[in-house]
Amino acid sequence: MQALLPAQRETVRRQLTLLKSQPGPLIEILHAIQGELGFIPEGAVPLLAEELNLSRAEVHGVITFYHFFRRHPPGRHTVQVCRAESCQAMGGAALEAHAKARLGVDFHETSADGEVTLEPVFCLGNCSCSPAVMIDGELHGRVDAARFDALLADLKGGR
Amino acid sequence: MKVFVPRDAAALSLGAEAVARAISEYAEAHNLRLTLVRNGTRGMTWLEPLVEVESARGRIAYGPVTPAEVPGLFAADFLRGGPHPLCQGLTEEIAYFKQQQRLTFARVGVVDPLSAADYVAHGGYAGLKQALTLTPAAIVQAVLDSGLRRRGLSHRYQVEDRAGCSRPPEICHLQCR
Repeated sequence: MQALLPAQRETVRRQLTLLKSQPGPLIEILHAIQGELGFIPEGAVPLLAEELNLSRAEVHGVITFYHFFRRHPPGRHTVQVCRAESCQAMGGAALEAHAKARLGVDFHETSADGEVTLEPVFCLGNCSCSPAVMIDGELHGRVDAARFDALLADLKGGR
Repeated sequence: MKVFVPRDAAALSLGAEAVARAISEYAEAHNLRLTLVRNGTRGMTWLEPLVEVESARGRIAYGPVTPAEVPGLFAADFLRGGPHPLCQGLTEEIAYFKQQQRLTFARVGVVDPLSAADYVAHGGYAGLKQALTLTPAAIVQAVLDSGLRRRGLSHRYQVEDRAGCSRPPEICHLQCR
């Protein structure tokens, strides 16, 4: 297991101090860590387990159960493609295939140039404008292959 | 002259921000005075971004608008409801909208949600204003008489006065059961 870098350890310790006293704090702390670092470093697991009086297996279980949590650093940008019912009914599967082919990655992978991480997501709440995509936290509706490419081009344009 | 461009999540996901910016920039560059109101969606998301302009007959709708269409809309004099391929006529005459009876959503899309004056113009603070003319006991009675209910999973509950607030109370606890 790779040891935590000093800055990562500082983040984990600080979030533990901030949130530890809340009831059932593990998920909140994981969100906070990922919010700062972009992912949950493997080396955070024993520290979280010890401080929260959980087993490492329990912490590992939560991190791997929720696909939102990443165990590796993401690319510069994150593209989430909605796979819920409404989007699937409106061509989401084709969009998904297009996104994977365009970026040369599968879900949870990062393009070779380190620019874009592709992730599935379940329901962005924008069902009336399906299919929906979220890019770096910004929601986009009625995304077809052409619009997907235009949005990617915007990213590369250094937006 | 008021122009409405929604700022809810659905409209934003279809580029409403860029449309609002294009309208502002065009107006500025051509010395046109207009007030841009960022309302909520009227709920017809297939027409979003739905741009509306005020007219004597009611609001006139244009949609779905892209930033590239904005100069054409100005050229068609959309500010005065001029004809354009994207013109949907009076918003409230659109069949999908017209057949609805709006209750909870009655004011969504109509008002500027950040404008207190708009809120008051649409009945805001009316209850508070009336309450200020009543005695505390009358206010309690008005709440009881209203039949105010909260909703539970499978039942409706009516407000009742468990403590028996018959005296003019400083603080009265009404319970929803």
